[in-house]
Amino acid sequence: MLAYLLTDEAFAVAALNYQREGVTRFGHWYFLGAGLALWTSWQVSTAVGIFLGAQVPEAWGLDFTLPLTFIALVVPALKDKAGIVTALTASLAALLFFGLPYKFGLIAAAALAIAAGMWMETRE
Amino acid sequence: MNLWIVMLVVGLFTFLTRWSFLALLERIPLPAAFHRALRFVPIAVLSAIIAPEIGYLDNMLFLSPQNPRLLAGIVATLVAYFTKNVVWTIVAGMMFFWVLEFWLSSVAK
Repeated sequence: MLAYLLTDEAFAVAALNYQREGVTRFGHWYFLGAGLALWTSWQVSTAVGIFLGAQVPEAWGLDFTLPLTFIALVVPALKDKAGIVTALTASLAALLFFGLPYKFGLIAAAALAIAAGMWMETRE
Repeated sequence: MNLWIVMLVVGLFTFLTRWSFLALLERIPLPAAFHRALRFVPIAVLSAIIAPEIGYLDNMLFLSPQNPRLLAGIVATLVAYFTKNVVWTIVAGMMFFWVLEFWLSSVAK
């Protein structure tokens, strides 16, 4: 059931909570709560989107809220050098690898950044 | 009718790809390095999604002060850093983005 509720945002919120609180007995409930809240608002907004979506002009650039949301989630999670190195590496690599097909650039950039973060962690 | 079957099957597949990992990882012990790496996964993946969203426009690299998404992204990063508040970050980023868009388009023409 938790797997069904696993979306990008649920992952982000839940993973950051595990990091804050450690893996506790109640961590799963946090995930379930976040997942259910997101799932519900997702369904409702999809319905709203179907009826209103076509009427919102593209020029408003509402798609820009996606990177903004992710920025709001990532930045507070950067608490040490290793985390910052990970974020910078991922950003740079993702820009360089952007042309690769099938979102492979995203995966490569993330893998590279995780390695960089771990390397930085052992140096600290 | 056919559409419903397709939707159900695709839904089942995306569910299985997510569930299989959770179900397997419960049973298989993982090396310590793997656990160390996990901490960096959300940061790495989200950053790798953000950067091209704000650094590219219409599939072209666009790293310049003329790019409203890039500037608004930087402002949002600062707001996120100082407030640690999701709503403020989105509101400030979006406001700044709209002002820039409006200003840049009126200057350019």
